[in-house]
Amino acid sequence: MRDTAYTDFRDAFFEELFRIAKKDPDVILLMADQEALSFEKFKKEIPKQIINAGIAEQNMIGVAAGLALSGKKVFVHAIANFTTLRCYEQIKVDLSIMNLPVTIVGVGAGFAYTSDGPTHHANQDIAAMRAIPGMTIFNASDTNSLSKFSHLAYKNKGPVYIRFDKGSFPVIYNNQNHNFEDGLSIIKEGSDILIISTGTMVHHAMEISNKVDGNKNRVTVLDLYRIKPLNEKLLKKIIRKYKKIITLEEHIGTGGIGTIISDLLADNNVFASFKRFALRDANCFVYGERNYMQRKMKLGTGNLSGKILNFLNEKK
Amino acid sequence: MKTNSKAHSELEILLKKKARWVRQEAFNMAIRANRGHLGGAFSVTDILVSIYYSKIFRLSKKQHNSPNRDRLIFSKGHACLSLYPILADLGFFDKNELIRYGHNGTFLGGHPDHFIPGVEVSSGSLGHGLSIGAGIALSAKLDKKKFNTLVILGDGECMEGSTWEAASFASVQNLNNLIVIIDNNGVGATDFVKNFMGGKSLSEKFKSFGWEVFDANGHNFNDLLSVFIKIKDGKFNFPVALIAKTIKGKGVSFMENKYHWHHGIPKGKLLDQALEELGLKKNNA
Repeated sequence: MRDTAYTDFRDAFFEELFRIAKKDPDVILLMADQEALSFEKFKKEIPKQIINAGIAEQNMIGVAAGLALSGKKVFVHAIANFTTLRCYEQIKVDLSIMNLPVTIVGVGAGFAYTSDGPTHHANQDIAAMRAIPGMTIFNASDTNSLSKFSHLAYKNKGPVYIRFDKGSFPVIYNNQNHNFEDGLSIIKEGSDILIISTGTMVHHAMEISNKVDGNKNRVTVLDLYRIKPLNEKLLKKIIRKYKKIITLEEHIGTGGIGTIISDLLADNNVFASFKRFALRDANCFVYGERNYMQRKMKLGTGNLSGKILNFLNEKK
Repeated sequence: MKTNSKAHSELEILLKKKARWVRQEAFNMAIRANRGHLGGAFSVTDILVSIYYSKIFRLSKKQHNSPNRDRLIFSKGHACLSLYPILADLGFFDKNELIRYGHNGTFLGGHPDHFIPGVEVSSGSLGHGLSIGAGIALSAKLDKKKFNTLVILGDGECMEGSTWEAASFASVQNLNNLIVIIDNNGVGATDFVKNFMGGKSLSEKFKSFGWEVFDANGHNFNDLLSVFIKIKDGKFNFPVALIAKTIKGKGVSFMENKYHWHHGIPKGKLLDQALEELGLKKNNA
């Protein structure tokens, strides 16, 4: 981690990637007619390491595979939905089957592209990408974790998917030495209930925990920033301490972290009261600000806090 | 080639002999396994034989671990019945593996995997090879390496839109070290390719994408070799496409130009006839 304080997710990632690429000429960045402030630095200082592949995501993944076969460490970038679902079969065949070190960098997790509508929402990308063998998946809750993910991806030997939000969110990881090897992190510890969240919904979880806590410290918030491979051992250890567990995500309920955690509970005979809060299995035609859309899709913090408080007070 | 006509005619005899043997092996493998894509394997046989045995490209087993080897991407992976015998014959793996094709535990799948000795990339899903080839050719440019990247496509495969995404990309990036060879047999799995893609020729299409285009008879070794010599080692300013006119099912008369034999396996009298035409009847052997 550097002393630079990035406020925007995209800058946080590509500024850090630029530092890596400057030292290693084998790092190549491809993007699909996509812009970021830090691309100017690439173009000026290491122009051979940045290629605009145009609005052709399937070709971009294939080209990345060809470069990786020749020893390059390739990063590809586009809006999250387009660089996962649009070229899904290329990811399966060209990256997973040949296990190539290509990192897919998708901007616009969940409803980040708000009023651009359902074509631009990344609300089933986790479900799709976790079904790809050998794929590592990171989901960033803040810019500090995201800039660290660039290094983890750079060191990885197989395909990686990094998904992040747009714009600015509060910083969660102030400790510059946090190494993000665990795959998850407890952001706030409480006594009664565990909320597992991912990406910027972790901020929602924090807001909910403040509302639910009252005078007591009842809620634990866990940031599951590495969705695959899951750190099952550590997760099981933490989960076993709680009688009530919640997952919270801005992703459809089928195949996201709700599914992942319920699988973990079932496969390991962990008996706990469990509730998932996620998007329902639908395309979102609500237009407006992010908070408004989340409220309409029943993921507003007010609505959730009430439900979670009830869940907490339920007697078993 | 003209300067040494004796060597040339010896090479032609060798290529004919190898092509006959490859079709025999491919056919035997398909019959033993009761599966495989004979039609496309037979149309591309002469192209593969002339690429591998002419030694015009750096594709031998000895050269295979060199970073300067030429790369061959067999994008129409379903036609691997003609690729496997060649790789075995060139020593990439034991010829006994050909007998195990289609049987439990073989590493020779119905479409080639990247870990088969001599195979650069996994293929089987169509429309992937040209993008991967463009990436490899681009890496050669970046690293200032001189090798050729060859991509063998089917004409049916050119229905896939990703092929044309790659055709644009290769042209814009000036990948003159990239060579596409199209096994233009005109036949898909259920119909003729022109009934899917219309009447415009692939030559015109590639030209309009900014490629240097050559045409050849894909069953005429002289034709193929003279184009290979012309197009290798980046002599043009653009990526090169060789549109090789071929016949699907070439070598077995009843299979020729018939889509049924995309993955049909002959039985009974047709099996006997095919064995005879391929020179596999005992009294002919």
